[in-house]
Amino acid sequence: MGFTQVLIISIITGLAYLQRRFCGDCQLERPLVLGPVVGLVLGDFETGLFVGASLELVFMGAQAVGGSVPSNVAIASALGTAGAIVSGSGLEGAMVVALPVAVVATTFETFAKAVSAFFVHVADNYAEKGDWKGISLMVHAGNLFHFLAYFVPTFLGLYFGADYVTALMNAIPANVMNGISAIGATLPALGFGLLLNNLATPGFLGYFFIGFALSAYIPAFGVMGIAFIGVAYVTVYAFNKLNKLEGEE
Amino acid sequence: MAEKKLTKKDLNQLFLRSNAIQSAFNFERMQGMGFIWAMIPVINKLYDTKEERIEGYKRHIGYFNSHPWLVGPIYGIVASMEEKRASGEDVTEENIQAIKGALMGPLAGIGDSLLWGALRPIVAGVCASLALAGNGLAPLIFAVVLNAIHFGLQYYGLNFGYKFADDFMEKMEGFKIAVWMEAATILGLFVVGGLSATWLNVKTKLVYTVGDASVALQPQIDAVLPKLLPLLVVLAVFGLLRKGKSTTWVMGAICIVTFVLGFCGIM
Repeated sequence: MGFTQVLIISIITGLAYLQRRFCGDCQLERPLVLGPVVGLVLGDFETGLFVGASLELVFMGAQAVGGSVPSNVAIASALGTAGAIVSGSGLEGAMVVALPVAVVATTFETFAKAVSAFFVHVADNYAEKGDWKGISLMVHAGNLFHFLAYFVPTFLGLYFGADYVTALMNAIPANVMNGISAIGATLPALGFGLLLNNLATPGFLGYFFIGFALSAYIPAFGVMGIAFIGVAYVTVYAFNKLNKLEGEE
Repeated sequence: MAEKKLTKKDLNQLFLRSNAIQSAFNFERMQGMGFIWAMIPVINKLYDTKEERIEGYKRHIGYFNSHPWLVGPIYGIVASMEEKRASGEDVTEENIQAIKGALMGPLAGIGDSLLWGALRPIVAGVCASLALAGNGLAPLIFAVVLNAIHFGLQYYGLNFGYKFADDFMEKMEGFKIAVWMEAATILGLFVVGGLSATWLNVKTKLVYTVGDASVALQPQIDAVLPKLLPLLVVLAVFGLLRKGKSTTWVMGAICIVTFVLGFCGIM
């Protein structure tokens, strides 16, 4: 694998992920697509296609729910496919590389999501001044970090070997990682708090607690169940109020 | 106040930009940055004064998280509401926030289960089998089929949402709209309460010892009120914001406190 090939594959992996952020989440970073593309760059489309399709079946169920960071499927497929082609070890070789990398590489994405939280606050200041160009700039800056979150580990993994990336991540002390994931788990509370701050009109705040209690005690409702109950309730509420208002006229 | 109207061209631009919904995705506001980026041209077109535009930017830079393929209807409805607000009708800031808050969760739920849970694995499964049988076109078929559905949902969803909200507000008398807007605010609060309990995972790893037995604290909390910790954190944030603390201040506090708690193994 030459330096140019390493660079091209890393850029492609970064871009395949960037389109998830900026171009509508077209699923181009799935193994089924990325595998054959990496194969094409390395001159072995067929192995790429085979490894990509096999990894697709492995990772089919992996998905992000509510901002969580799942296994990093894209970096895993890029490194796995490249490893399989270069070493000639086939699917087993690809799996050995892909599975640990998929777990480890999530750290980079977590990092990009944390850094972007700082850009939001800079964007807040621009919004306060009415500077929409500044807001746009922060959007692009966040996206740049997201691109790098995939480009850098792919590049390191291809250039130094996948073991290098795993070792690098393992060098971070466990309690530091634990502290970072605690921040990641808690930060959405700020988003919810801001939303609550916007919505809470005196006299209505109780509805927040009803929605909360129903979800907390009966998780089976899910968000859909809560919405269902909520829509049914507010429809009754609105029609009652409308009838009353019309009766007064 | 003169009537403000978005053109077909404005809506098409909103559609194009709506695809950037996951931009600068972050733990705090999720898709908030993507949402504002698409709304910038709409705000600039509808509002002439700097003060109104600033209010508009701030309105749409908040927390937002939904399914990336199903945000079209939300953008459509919000665009129509902004149009009415700019034309001087009685659409308040809370009304717009409430609609966003009420719709994002359920649409995310539909998308996660139907699109990510069913559609994608089905198309991926079929195409992966084709690929394993040596069909080199399989990746292309996968991308084209999925994205035809994807962009169709986004484009028609946006136009449907816009038209629906426009018809609704044109035909309704003012006091009726006010009642329905109030209902939307209730629904928004209700769903945000549900989301806080569903999407927020704040847990403690604390273990204490009673005699020889070590007892984990989290199951004890769950027995009283599951998701008590997420609730307390959201209410603490809400309280701090109401006291006038800036979001940056609150964010810094969260980062420092939770990092220390995580570092010490409490979280």
